[in-house]
Amino acid sequence: MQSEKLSHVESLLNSQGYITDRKIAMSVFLSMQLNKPLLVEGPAGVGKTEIAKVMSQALKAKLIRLQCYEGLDANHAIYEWNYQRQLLHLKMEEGGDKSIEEKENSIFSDRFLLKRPLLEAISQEGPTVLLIDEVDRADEAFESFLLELLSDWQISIPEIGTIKAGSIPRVVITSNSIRELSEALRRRCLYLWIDFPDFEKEIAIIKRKVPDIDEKLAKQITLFMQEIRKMKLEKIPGVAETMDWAMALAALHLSSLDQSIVEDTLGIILKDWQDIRNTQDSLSELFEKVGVSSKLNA
Amino acid sequence: MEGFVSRRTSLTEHIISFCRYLRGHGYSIGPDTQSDALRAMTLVRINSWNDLCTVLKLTLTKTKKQAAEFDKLFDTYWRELNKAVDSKVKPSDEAAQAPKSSPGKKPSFDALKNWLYGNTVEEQQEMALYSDQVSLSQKDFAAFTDDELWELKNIIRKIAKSIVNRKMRRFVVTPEHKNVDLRRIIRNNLKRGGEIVDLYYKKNKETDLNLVILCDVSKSMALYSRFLIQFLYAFQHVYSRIETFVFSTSLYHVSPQLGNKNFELALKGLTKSVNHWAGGTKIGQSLNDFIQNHGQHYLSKKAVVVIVSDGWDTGDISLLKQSMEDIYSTSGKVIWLNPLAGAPDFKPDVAGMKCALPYIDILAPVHNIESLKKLPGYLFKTRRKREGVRN
Repeated sequence: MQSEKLSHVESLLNSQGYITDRKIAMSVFLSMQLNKPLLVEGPAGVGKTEIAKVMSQALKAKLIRLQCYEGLDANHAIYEWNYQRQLLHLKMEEGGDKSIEEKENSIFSDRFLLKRPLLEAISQEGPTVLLIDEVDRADEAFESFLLELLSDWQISIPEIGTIKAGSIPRVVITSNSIRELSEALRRRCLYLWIDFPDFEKEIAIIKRKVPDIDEKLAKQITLFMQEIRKMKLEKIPGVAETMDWAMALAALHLSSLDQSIVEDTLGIILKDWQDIRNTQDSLSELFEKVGVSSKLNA
Repeated sequence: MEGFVSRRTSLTEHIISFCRYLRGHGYSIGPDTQSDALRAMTLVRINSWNDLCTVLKLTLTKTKKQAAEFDKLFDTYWRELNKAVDSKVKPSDEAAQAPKSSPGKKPSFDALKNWLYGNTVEEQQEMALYSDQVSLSQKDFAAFTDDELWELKNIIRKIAKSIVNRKMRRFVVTPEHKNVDLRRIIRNNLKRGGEIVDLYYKKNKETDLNLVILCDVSKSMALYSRFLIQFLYAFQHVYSRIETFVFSTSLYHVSPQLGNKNFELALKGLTKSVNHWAGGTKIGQSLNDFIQNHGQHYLSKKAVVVIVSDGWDTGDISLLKQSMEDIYSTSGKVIWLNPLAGAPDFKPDVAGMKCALPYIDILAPVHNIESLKKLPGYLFKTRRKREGVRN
């Protein structure tokens, strides 16, 4: 019965247009079953964030996203008092006969509380997927705070008291390994490393997302991408770039790659000037590997 | 003794002993992780070795490196286990370890022995494959190949960035909602009749270090200069308050060239403007030149002077001494990075090094990445008391 659920997860992921392999499906399934956050690492553009989105769609849960960045602090991640509004409120009440206590109670109430993603996620009634994106961008202090939240599922606000999670959200944490994450955080999570997709998976993704693409073109694009990732690039293009490229070429109604087309559209997959130059230099070599005859040489 | 394989009868026991085997290979698997793995096994119907491997991998690995090694360890473990089962180890004899109970020196047990005795050559090779960072960081710069230089560049960039992001104790105003700047709030709201309307925030000021790098590119440093240029280049790019000079027999200001976004063009610019690559060394002359022509501009109490050289000087030693003294007294700190200092038997007894020594705050090696990682620490350490230095 349990493994039916696994296949259920697999088909859910598939139905949301996410080409998955057994490893990813199983990690999603296990993280749900074991109630453990799923820590996803991998290069940019391999669909780490997508996992959480698909998960929320599949579970019909609300997706709450916390994008981490350098200098992210409690005010932006958990809650903040709407200070200006509190001030105005006090001003308006000036001259009234409310006691100080009453005033205090009124300005430190839910109305003046700005809920940031983490508090938002905790105070949800229904099922929730909490996506903590690029956690490695935030600093270590924030990571330690996260640990506390992930184990206790409660947040205490001095003025109000402790808020406990009604239903524990599913958590997906992604990281680009800019910074080494702490051992403690890793220990609390299930770990999934997603690499660039292999040929079969990538071509399946192309066909799924760009259904009207020419079969031969899709194959060539995939081969080309697989080869180009082996080069020494500043920014290795991910699946997102493959998608963009495939869509662009499909929109041009092409049926195969040739040198001039690749040269003209290289900017879609490579986002670094140096990379583009290096690739242009070794384009005919690349073509040979992909098995496309370059027209200039012919 | 974590790594042994003995025959177990139930799956649970197998998993537990597999965990123990992994621990022997540097995995830190706590009881919670272990119980996760066991629970996961009950949740998924396992139809194949592949499934088992995936489930265990998801639950037991916690880093990229571990995940990369896992498949191999998994294979080795279960394969050896199968062999152990075949070789008539009695189930009742659980404490007996597989290698001991088999008198025949079958090749298959070599692997077991390796686990028992720890490091093997093969294992080290595996490690090197999976963690570039570790193997690169111990390697002497002189021994890098072109391919590795590329990796190195990325590591250097990271180190340089960590220097830039260093925070100081002083505060500056910021629009970000950081810490409330009470003093400023009260002062600036006075004009609103003391009503606190505008809020001000403060954050730690980021480093205001001025760096001056003087890099020796003479013949004796040739082995290192390939790497050093990379380093200077990366540094120049992430940090704007840095001035870079190279010298052999004379001094060149190369910051403008290094500023080029394209590394190859930067290199071309460098070779064009620096005439004495890999020539002789006149450190004293070059440093003196620096003080005369650039000192006024770049030397201050806020400046940290980093000299990268092996100290082999063919020029005027007394001039070197004089120049070092001048630099020392007009700068905030003097750091001398010596690639030779990485050797265990290094003594700063080269004439040039010897006479410069009293005017150096920190003498440190730069021969591998590991030593480079310590650089931020040196840069931000405050200078020792003056009296203690000269003797």
